Amino acid sequence: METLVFLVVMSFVIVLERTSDPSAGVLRGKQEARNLECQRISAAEAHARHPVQVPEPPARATGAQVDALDCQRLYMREGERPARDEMVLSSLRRDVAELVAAARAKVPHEPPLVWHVDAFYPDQAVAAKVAVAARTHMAELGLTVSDRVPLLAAGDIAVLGRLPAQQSYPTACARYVDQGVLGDDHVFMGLMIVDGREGQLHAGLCRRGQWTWLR
Amino acid sequence: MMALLPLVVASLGGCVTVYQPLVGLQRPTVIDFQQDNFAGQKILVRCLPQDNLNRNQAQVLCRKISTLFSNQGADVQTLVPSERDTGDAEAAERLPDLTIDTKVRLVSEQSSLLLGIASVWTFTLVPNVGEYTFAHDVIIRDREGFALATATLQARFIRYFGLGVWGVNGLLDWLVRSDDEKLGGNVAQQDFSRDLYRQLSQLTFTAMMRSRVMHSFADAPAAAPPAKEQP
Repeated sequence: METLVFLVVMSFVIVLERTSDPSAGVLRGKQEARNLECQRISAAEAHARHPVQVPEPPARATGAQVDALDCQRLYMREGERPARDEMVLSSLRRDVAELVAAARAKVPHEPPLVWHVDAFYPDQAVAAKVAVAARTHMAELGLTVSDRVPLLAAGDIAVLGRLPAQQSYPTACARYVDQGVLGDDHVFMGLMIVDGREGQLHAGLCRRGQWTWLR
Repeated sequence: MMALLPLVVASLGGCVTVYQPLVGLQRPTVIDFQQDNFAGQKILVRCLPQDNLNRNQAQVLCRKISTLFSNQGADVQTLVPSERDTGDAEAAERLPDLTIDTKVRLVSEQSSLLLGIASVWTFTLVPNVGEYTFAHDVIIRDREGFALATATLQARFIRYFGLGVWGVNGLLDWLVRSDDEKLGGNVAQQDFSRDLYRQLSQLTFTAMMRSRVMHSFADAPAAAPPAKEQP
């Protein structure tokens, strides 16, 4: 009888010891585990990030290398917003910084140009976030950014909407200049997804009627 | 008798493997990898053997990835490079539209000797627990060798071995958990494969689109589906 009690107690001890584990198990479902973003880091790095929970590793460790699993709960749980929106928005800051850097490298710094930015994305709310993020980043870099978005006539938009992306953006760029919407000292940067199956932003630049794809 | 017990338990299926997606694998994707996403694309898949992935395993991995992209309409070549056939690798590298290099490495392996002993002494009522973390490094290049996309996908597998844990898990799967939440059988393998395939497909599609944009759609198919909102 004592042996059986011992075995049961030991099993419970093991189960309790595993409750802090972020993987799915008896007390945690698979969906809950997927809402954590975890990565393996060294014990020293774990101590630097979480000094209270993780003790400092010995300076001259001779035993097996110990590492830690560092987990953070995702801001948005899986399925809370559309997958493509999540893909675009979760890396928006980094992507916008890369695209703006690529755009700046394509145009001369003198004379100072006025930048116009717009985003083309199926969801208008996400498009607005992308455009605002790009404008804000440009302003932080000291560029002159306009709030005005160059607009075309309704007939132009109707025609452009039927063209594939590789034709519509260059054509729109030419129309901007033809209609006098963009002057020589103005440059337009468009951010977009080209295909509905991707969650990665592309960008192009319109200057003096010439459209240049950036990435 | 006690030494034979693990074998008896193993024969009863006393092992429960739990899969946990770490870096990259649980990111959302939009691509449906059962569609013709890569029609007409020539893709070379190179699986590089490493310490933890021998040549045969690399060939199996390459074959599975090849099937993944073939099912999506791509013309796929596979290559498991070795010291002797580097020339072939270089020759093949010039032909494809995209080259996918994959490497698998063991990031971490943990097990407890004490727990193993306790497991044997308690007739596996106390489960033996071992865990392994693997990283799958992926680099996708275009025809000129320019790196279009890179990713590291990490997966963690926790293996519980014991009659008690196997029985309790079986009961929970049977009585409590929904189909999506079940942990027994080969669910870990299926979940990992699904995550890996959808991430590889999405990453390769991103690389393909990036290549097209950077070449100003010079090699794009005529009927590329347009995005819904354009100027």
